[in-house]
This record gives sequence, structure tokens and C-alpha cells, in this order.
Amino acid sequence: MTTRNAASMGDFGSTWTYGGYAGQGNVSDLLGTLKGRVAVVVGGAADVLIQLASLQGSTLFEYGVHDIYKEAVIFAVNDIGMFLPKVDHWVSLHGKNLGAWKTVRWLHVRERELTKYHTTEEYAYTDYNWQSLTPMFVLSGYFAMQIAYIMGAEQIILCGCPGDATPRFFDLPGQRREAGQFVYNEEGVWNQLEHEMKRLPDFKAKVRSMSGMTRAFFGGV
Amino acid sequence: MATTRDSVDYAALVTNHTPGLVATKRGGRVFPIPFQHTVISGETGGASAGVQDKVNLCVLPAGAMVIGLHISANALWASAGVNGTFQIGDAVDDDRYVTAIESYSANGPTATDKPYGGLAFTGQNFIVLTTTTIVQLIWKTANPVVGKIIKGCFLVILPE
Repeated sequence: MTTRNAASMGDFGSTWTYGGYAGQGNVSDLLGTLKGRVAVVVGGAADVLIQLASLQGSTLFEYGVHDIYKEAVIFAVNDIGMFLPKVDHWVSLHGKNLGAWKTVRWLHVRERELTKYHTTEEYAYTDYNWQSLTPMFVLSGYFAMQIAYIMGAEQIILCGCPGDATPRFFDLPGQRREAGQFVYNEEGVWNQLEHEMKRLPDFKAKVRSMSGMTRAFFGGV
Repeated sequence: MATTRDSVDYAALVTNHTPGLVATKRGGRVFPIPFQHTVISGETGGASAGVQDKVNLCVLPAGAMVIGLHISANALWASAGVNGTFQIGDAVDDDRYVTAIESYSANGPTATDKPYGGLAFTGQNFIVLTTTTIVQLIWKTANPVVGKIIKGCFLVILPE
């Protein structure tokens, strides 16, 4: 059983505040630690790896990107984290799933990693517990974007996070999910994104997206 | 002949003009406490307490009297296949303000957004006695749909 905060709770009971957000949990040491860094939030869209590859050679940094995995801070979102060559932070709103996903990742990578695991409650296999984050984004991809912002990232690139019905990497090619199979078009999802970015324009200014509705909303790389 | 009787509060305020009545007795200043929550991915509403996630909605100040509640919600389970319920209470009485209710059901609305009005008997005129009270919503029976919204407003009379 998990207890979450409605947006209307404000910063009541919080143990930290940063950048317009408040919460509890063991994350205080992370706040603002990515200042000057570029964060790439990697989601589960079908063409996510192509999008990642296209960042190589982009001008995200003054000198261009030679190796995105070395030069950017990688935030994996949900399932895709099992398969990326390198993950700095793995984020999910589904904390119970993270344990199984982590095991699969270890079977792939087979080496010691420094990946940090983030969710909304405490588990033996996770590192950071964003308890009572207020307000909390409702989808894991946006939640990862939110954590990157609270950690102070200079720029946040959504990669494979189109925010629409684009198939995921484990869907049949060309398959478009029907209403009811995805939640991205729920009024509350988009309203929350628009409201938060209107409330925190500095946050919106930091975000770019590689595809989909989020690219139309935030702008592309 | 029919008899007309005075309620205790009517007698104190109108008939006896009792001096020194506290705000909650004489109709003090009404204070709105709004709340809003958008369902987050992973929120669970199960059959037992261990799998019934909670949402902290708002905070009621100590000494306040709860006199009203209005809620309007999306069809919270409209595309989830099974209709769940929610209730609203606090740490002492977990359905003090709203007993378990559906926001989408065969006995009520269709798959449309729906308003609710009124407090449960236990919550009407309830006075928050000693400390601030966090109002909690509990999801029951089925998981709510991500992105659906529940919003509303408590009306309270503040203490002196």
C-alpha cells in the first residue's frame, strides 16, 4: 500500500523543497547535483534506439556529441532500462517491477554498475525513494523528466518519450495502440503537463524531445 | 397541535442569546479547502487494505468544523473493466467524510464525469479537535485509470 500526495497538499509535511517541488524520502542529497549536465530520458518508443543514435553528432554540447552514453546522464524509464548499454538512473512509478527488471539487466550486462534505482517507495533493490513528491507527474517518463529537473540538469532530452500512441519497442511494428490501451490522451495527463510547464517556465525551457507530441510541445533537439 | 422545538444550537444562538458562543456555534467565517488529484500510473485499489493505495488530499486545521464537501470526478474506472470505489476519511476514521462510493456505476451515472455533494453522517459538523488532520482518499476494489481527475472542496468554519 502506497500513500501519495495530491497536488493540493502543497509542501505540507515535506522534508525538502527544490525548484517548485516538495517531498519526503531519502533524496535530499540528489537535489541540484546535475547542474551543468545534460540528461537524456530514455523511454520505450519503438524507435528509441534510432533516436538515441541520432543524438550522436548533435550539438547538445558545444563540441558535439561523440558518445552519448559517456557525455550525458542517462535516465532509463521502465522496460527499456533492461537493454541499454549504460544507465545512470533508472526510474519507474512501478517500483515492484523494478526488481524483476533489474535482475534481467544484470543478466545482460554482467558487470558491476553504478546505476541508481528510483521509485516512489522504499524497496530493498532501489536506492532512492521519492515519497510524497508533490505534485508528482502521472507517467513514468514525465516522472523521470521531473527527477532530472529536480537534480538540476541543465538540459533534458526526451528520447523515445513521444507522449502519444506511438508503438513501444515491444509492440508489433506499425501497430498503433487504440484508445483504452494507453493513457496518454487522458485529459488529466496532458492537462497536468501543460499546467506544470505553465507554472514552471524555467522547467519547460530546459526540455526538448526527439519525437511525437512532446516534441511539438517542448520543441526538438 | 404540532409542536415546534428548538435545536440546541438554535436555542443557544437565537432564543437565549448565549454570550461567548464559539465560532462553530454561531456560524463563523467559512473557509474553503480545495483539493485535486490526477491518478498516477501504478495507483492500486485492491480488495484488502494492503493493496489499497491512499492519497493525501488536503489538510484540515485544528478546531475547524467541517460543514460541507463538494466533489466532481471523472469516470475513474471507465476504461478499467471493473468498477472500483473510493472513500474519504482520516487516520482515525478512514471513511468519516465519504463512505465507499463509485464514481462510475450502473446504479448511477453513465461513463461521464459526475459531481457529488454532501458529507457522510460522521463527517457533517465534525470538529477537528486537537491537531491538523490530513484528509485521505482510499482506492478500493479496482485500480483507477491513470490520468483521471478527482477534485473538490471542503467547507469548514474556522475556530476563533
